[in-house]
Amino acid sequence: MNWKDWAGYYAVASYDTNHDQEYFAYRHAAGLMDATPLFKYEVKGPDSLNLLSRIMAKDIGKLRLGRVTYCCWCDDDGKILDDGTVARLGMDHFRVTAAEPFLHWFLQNARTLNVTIEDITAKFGILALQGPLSREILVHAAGGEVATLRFFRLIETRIDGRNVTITRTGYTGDLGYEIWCGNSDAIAVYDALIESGKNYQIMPAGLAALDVARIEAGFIMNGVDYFSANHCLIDSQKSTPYELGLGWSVNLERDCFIGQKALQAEKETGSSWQFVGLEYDWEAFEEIFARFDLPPQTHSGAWRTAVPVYGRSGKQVGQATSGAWSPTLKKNLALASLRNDDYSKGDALFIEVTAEYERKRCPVRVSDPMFFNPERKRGK
Amino acid sequence: MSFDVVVIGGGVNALTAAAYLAKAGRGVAVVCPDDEIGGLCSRHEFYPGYYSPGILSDTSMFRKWIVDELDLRGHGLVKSTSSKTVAFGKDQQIVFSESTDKTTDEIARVSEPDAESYRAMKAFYQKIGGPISQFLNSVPADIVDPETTDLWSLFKRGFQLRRLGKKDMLEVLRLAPMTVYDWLDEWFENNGLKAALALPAVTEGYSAPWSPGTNANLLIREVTRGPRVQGDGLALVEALESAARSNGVQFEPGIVDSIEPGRGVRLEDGDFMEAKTIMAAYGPKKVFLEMIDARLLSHKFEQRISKFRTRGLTSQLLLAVESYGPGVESSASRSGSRQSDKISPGPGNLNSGLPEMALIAEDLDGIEKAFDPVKYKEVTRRPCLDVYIPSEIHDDLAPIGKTVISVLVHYTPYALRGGWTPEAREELSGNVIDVLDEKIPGIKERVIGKELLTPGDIEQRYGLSGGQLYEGEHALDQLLVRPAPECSQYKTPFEGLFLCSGGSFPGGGLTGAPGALAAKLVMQE
Repeated sequence: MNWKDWAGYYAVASYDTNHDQEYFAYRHAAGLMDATPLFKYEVKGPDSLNLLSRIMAKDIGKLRLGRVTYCCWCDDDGKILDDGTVARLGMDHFRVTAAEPFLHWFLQNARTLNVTIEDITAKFGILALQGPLSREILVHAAGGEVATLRFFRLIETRIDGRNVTITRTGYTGDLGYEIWCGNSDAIAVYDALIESGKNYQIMPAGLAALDVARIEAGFIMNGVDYFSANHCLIDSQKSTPYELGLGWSVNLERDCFIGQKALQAEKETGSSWQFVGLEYDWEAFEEIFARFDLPPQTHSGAWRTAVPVYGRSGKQVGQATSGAWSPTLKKNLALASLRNDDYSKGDALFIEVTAEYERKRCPVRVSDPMFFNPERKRGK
Repeated sequence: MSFDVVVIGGGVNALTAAAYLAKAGRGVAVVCPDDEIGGLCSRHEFYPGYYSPGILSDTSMFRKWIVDELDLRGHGLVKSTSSKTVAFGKDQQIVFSESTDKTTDEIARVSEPDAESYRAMKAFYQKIGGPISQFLNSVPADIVDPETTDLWSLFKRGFQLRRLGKKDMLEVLRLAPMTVYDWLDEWFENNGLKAALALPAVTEGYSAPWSPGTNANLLIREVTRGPRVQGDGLALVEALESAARSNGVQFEPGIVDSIEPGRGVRLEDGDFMEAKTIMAAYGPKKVFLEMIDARLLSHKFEQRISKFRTRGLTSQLLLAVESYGPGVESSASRSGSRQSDKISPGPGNLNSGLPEMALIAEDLDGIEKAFDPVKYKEVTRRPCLDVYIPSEIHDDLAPIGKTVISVLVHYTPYALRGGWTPEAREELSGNVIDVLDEKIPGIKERVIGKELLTPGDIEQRYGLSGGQLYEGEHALDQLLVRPAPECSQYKTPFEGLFLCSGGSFPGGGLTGAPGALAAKLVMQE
């Protein structure tokens, strides 16, 4: 079993020496992962909608009861701070997830509002049940109600007699659910899910497999594909939602929110960067290694050490921030940011590949970062 | 209802700003509930038949140039020539009067060398006063988006300071960030004298004599001081209101619900008063964190305003006191203070022999010790007192022959540990009356009614954030850039919204300067 640090918790990277089996569980059956270290906040009170509308780049006012939404939040200059989900459990009751601690930011902005914000990270466990068979398993564990739970909706129900909130969300880009339960109920719920899944090839799965899955799905990661403006030393390290392909999650035409003016201006004048998916030209990739009489060497899992991306003239036009060999798509993939001044659609691009300590350039094809997007993800 | 300018608030700065703008031909409305006209100098009945004169009374720093420019003398304002403050130290009293000569004589009674030093110190303040008060009496430079004129004016001011000569300029640079303790200790030996000079200055902030930077408060006080207004705050407000009305200012007795910058203000009763220009004479925290839709503020600006320190440390104890008539010998009359100089009392007044104003602080360490408990949210046992007895001057604040005493109590915490319970209030009031009775014997048995306003009560009654009497602590960092870089010039991030309270440069107190300077800026725009 491999462990890694996740927000101060020991989290499982892989249960086996290699994550392959867990990855295939996510894609072909169901993987069960402990996502408890996600930062979780409970926002309650008459002004909770006001608060979240002011913080989030997305119009939370449009979020109906029983629904969840993906969103990001920015500073005054429209630079992204973090991304996560907001779930609406009641008219004045929300739960927010974040990759980083943000209680202080939320509290700062709540100063004059009638709202309470509680860090419930240690109070609630989150179990992510992800994969094409996750619905069957969850119906077995929690009852038929789950069968009709639609994409980005939530229900409150019971598993093994324990209260849980189930959201149809996840970080694998597949059919999947996240189950919120009280800390003390988490082990019982976990056991109940494993028990329900035993006829469906359920597997405990870790972060290494998840990382491959999220790259196939084109999901960006804070601290890997972008950096929270809070941690950036220089402006050029910061990003905006538009630059990260999150423009769809920004609702400009509404009451004021943090970063609105800057984002409005960016929308009018255009962004400096764009976020893309890259597919390696496999034959060229093979060729690079063949020159050393080596078979093509891909990473065994996802990588997150940024590498330069070049244009035809050899000028660097951006960087790939993470990537992976996709066992499902049989493609070598990367997520990248390209400078709009230096790259136009259709330009030839090359990514740096190191073979036998020598830096080479491998042609890549630009694609939608959502490389893998099965019908079942959002289907009934 | 539509006006050129709507002024929110009814205190000294609001009335000053309104009078200036109306005089310049603008259509001005002042929005303020009737009983709050006068702001910190507005009266309220605190015990049947007894009225508070408001919370601030010291008009000695009200600017002479405002008196002239608004012709306040034509509206009844008279500068006092005879007002006195009795400083009670340990087994001694010093009577401070408008005349330096008389004050020096008084000091000589307790210390000959200190009398010399006092005269020398006054001369020093006189010498350095010009450039500093010029700086304090002009619109500050825009430090966020400086234009050439701003840089030029900064340069000119630096140059003026330089004209003091190298020695005095360096002395000014040395003394401003000092502690009041060290500065006064350089000049004087008498503890009571030092305490009396220090108390009003150090209590402008979250500070005591040993706090760094407190000397800037003292310096500003000394160089901007002049004679008091006869009748103090209440009379000043009357003159200002009269000047405002005669220039055509309309008074709208409403309560402001919210400010919509550039459009107008919404009143609690639902009425909307349209105005392109809004001048807010409330503290910056109240304006930006309570009166404007929070979502309109950038995060950074909101944080800056939130960080503006407004920790009130002063309570007010109002006492209704039974006859303290001529027959009763008071400690003040025993001291031989010059009775003949007193303003003759009106029909409902007393010739009681009580001082109009008094400071009770025995020594600098005593002030510091009174400050210590508030850091731990406790009540001080021996508070320092700034006493004002308005019924000595105004005949309509108390029934015939009776006395009103207003005591500013230093220091008291905003959030007392365990809360301001009735017992805690009694304890503090008792401590105050004990100290008062030591110096002015006979008060204790004559108190028939009282009201204690803790910093929280002051916040409620006067709309002062944190109950801070100066609309924001006076401290070096909060005096020059006040309240935030975005508002350093009375302007705000919102077009058409200006600040003009003591929460803006050059600070709080009954100076009229923020109101007048903000109005001048608006007239230039």
